Amino acid sequence: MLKKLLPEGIKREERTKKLNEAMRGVKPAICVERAKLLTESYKQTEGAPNILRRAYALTHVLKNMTIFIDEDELIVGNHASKPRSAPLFPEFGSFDKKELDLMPVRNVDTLQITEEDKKYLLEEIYPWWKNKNTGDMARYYIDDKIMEVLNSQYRVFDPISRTRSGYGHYIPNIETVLKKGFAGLEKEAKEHIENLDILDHDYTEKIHFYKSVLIIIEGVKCFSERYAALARKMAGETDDTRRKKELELIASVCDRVPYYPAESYYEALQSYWFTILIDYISQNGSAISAGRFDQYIAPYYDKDIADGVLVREEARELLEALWVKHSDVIKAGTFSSARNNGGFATTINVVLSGVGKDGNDATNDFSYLCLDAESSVFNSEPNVSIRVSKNTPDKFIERVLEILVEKEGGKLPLFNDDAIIDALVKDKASLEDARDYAIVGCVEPTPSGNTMGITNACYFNLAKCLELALNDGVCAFSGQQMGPKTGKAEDFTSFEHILKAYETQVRYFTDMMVSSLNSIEILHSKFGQHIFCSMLLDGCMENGRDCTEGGAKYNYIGVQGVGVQDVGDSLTAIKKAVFEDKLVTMQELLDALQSNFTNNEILKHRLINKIPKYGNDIDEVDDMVAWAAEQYCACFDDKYDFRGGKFRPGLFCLSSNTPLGRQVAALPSGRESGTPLADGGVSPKHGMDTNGPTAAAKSVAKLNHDRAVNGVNFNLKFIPTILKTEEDKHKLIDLIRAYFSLGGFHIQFNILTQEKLIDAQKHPEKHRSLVVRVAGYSAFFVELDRDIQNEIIARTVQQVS
Amino acid sequence: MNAENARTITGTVFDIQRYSIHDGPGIRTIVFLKGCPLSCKWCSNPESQAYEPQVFYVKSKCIGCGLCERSCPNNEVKLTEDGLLIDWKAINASKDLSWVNVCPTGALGVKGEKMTAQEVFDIVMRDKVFYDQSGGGLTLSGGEPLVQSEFALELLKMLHDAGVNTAIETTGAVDKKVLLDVLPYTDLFLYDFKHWDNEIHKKYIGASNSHIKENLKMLAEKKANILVRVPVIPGVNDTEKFVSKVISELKEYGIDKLALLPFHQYGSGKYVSCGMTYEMQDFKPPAEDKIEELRKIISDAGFSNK
Repeated sequence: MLKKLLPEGIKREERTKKLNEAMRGVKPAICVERAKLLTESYKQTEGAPNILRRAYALTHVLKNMTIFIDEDELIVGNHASKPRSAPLFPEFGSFDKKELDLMPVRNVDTLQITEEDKKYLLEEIYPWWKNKNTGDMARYYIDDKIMEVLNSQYRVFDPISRTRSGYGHYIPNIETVLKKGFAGLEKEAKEHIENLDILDHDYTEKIHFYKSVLIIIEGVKCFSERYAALARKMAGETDDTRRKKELELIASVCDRVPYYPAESYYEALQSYWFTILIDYISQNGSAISAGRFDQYIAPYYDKDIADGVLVREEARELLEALWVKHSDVIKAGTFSSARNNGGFATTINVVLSGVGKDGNDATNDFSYLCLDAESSVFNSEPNVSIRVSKNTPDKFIERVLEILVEKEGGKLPLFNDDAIIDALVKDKASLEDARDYAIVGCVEPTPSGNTMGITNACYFNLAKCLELALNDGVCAFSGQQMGPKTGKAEDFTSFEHILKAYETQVRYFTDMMVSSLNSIEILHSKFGQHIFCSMLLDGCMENGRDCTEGGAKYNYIGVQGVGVQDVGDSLTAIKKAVFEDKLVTMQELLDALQSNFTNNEILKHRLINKIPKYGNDIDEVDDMVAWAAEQYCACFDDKYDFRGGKFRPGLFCLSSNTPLGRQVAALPSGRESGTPLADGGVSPKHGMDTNGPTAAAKSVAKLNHDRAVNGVNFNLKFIPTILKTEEDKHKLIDLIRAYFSLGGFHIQFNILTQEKLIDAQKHPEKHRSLVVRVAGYSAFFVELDRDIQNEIIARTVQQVS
Repeated sequence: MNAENARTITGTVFDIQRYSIHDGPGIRTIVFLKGCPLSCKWCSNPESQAYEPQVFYVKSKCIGCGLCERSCPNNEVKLTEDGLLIDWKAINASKDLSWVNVCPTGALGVKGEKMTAQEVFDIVMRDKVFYDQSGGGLTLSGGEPLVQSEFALELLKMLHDAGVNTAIETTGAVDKKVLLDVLPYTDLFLYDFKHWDNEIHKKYIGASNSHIKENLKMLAEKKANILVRVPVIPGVNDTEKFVSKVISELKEYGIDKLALLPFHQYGSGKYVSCGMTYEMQDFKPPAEDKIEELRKIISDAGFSNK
């Protein structure tokens, strides 16, 4: 079919391939330009209220940063001065020389940096920000006693990266931008200013907020206009008639969006991209997510198709060009943070399908087109999530499975609409907002466009708490008193003593975590105002209050318990081996743990093989894991932050189970010291779920997912041969639907071969495109830490005959 | 159902496999029962053939701790540098294998456990939610599951009464009466058929096929739901001629469902694990396109493969 919008001369597949190869071919690097521009602005605004300084700084960046339009691009807008480069955010924290030196040589999230840039940062930029960035200032906010605990090498939780990370993990209201444009928001801000009462005790703060909004909108308008001008200039300079026409189209689109409302499909896509991109340029956040992309873009797609000004194939061409763009956004983290999250996990989550606000299935033609684009591009970004309700067509899920088999790489997690909507309503969201939920980051469901999510504020090491409970609060590695004295385990006369000691340890540290995160949020609200995002979270504009200060309709802080499976398996082992079957005495068990089983190898094997393990649909142990999950979640029942937001517990870990495992000594489950904790938050421990996927799914569903409303992660790895036929696919869909009927929130399939992974580890150059999900998000496999690669390889392959 | 029977009738089970997706409709649990009247050389479950529980040794899991050597009553096992040396004759004659349980890794284990019908029923019912969603259920397999006829009948009855779809994977080499007994409680017979030629059948299977044919005919006459499954063994029955013959015979019986199970080598390691000799290492699995050709003949003849 002939194109109606784009000029002829290149096929979709060809363009997508070129764009994708160019993006994948980039060696990620550090870009110092943002740091330079931001610092320039801050130097000029000393003395001004911080919120205005933030606004001026962003606008200064948007007006002056390098912009470019790459060959064959249709959707424009770059994150840094070069493709796939990480801008720096000195207002949130600096990197010392050691970290910078490590960046080009570290084995995860490797980033190139020139000696000149390094020198510039260390001599010009960071010295000015010393004690002015949130990372440095955190010590004045976090309680002294807690700070002392956090200064140790061994920790139960570590909120320090949150002090440096800025705001992320929320879903801006893109629909507002598409419908009103920033012009509409500008008008609203002016009206609010008109209507403010000078006697209002919040008058000064509100006027600062609205002024900041106006400053930023000026920057946003200028940003897109610069692209329009650049495209025109390039159109004038090229001899290629096709490219000339494309550049003229780009220019006319950038003339209008995102300032004016989108009037076409092309404008809607470009407006979306500028909005998401500017949010990422604003500050150091990750997982700023797209929300229900197929819902808010579909009307523009439908209209253009119906009007005969667009054909499906070119709609797909534009969509794929946009899809590739998502890989442009990467952030620079410390080595430790990169190891936790791994693989440049920006995690821009794009959600497809599910029910509409009216409760009916909302899967549409455009949802399928998004899957087509995903199958063509298939990078770690965007992180595409699928909402599945009882009424989601099988056909849609079949297409998802087809892509997974074809790509042999796990992406496209499935989320259970019916259970999640119920849980959100229980969590005090309105029914309409609950039905309109989307996924933030990896697995975190929140309402869309009205929620300050911060859904991944901190990980909490539950397995470490068990280690402490068995050692009277003493860290097995450092020998120091880390937690409260809960008694010597060898003196415990009943199993209940262990449970009690464990509960006390968990309570002690969750309270500390809540306190420290609250301190950090206060710090951020004073120095890290996020006005751009406030325009796009319902409630802030009406309230005249920044989202960091509680302006949004819903406010959360998400805290993840990690290792609930190791805890449940270990408690079961103690209960059976020590108290019931008297396989060993507590003293013998403790001695074995202390020696990391070197003094009793046989005991280790018995504990692994003869004691039931979570993931096999055995109530005794599954109930223990469920107990540990409930106990963790209950710690937050009455915990609120200073914004009035709820602390929301989750049970997922991305790849943090590996670094967190390094902090935990040997456990009664038979797990050796320093080895990874169970992956995926609620997935069975790798290799332990020997009763197959239905048993694993049932075990997982015994945990009350409602309580872990910030999200859970259940990974199931399949070898591709079990999905050979249509019938096989249907049976897997039945597995998913039955698991969902039991209340499971999430399921993620990794469909791949072990040989393939081992080969990828040996020959990364041959497998650059291999995308693997690590516990709930996706990443390029070859960019992952080797330990994490090994962990993925070791995960159970569900052999099905 | 008779609660007393459920608790008293026992069977010898060597495996229960959940999420089985290639043995009947929907998502199924296969219960494997021990004992088989045949001894096909290509059998991929050699541990299914003997009727009694037997020792099974997986060398890769052995850590060489020697606990078994110290615990076995009559020197049945000996630890060497290359894993265990097992006196299979002695160990298979042994009545009490409880000492095997000392093995901490499960390298040395017992295949075959006495379980009551109620115990097995309870495990099968754990996946009820998956059967309800997919139309799946129980598949009884073996060995020849109908060798333990009383147990099989009880289990089929119980699950049938609980609204679970039931299937039996059978060799047909059993008494006619047994088949008639289970018929009312069996939604699908997965009926293995190896060869139409009795001489070849005897050579590879060690038994005549006439009885198997008669039973098949009888079930067809009783309007049982039958899917005939032919294990395709290279050089034995992998020809178009053979398949065409099967088709014409089945048509006469009024059977219209026929599937092929290509021979594979996955079971070879298990022969070593139970001290048996594997004779099929030189047989290559049939080529995929060969199987497709044969399948086409079947579908062209109007047969369904499920």
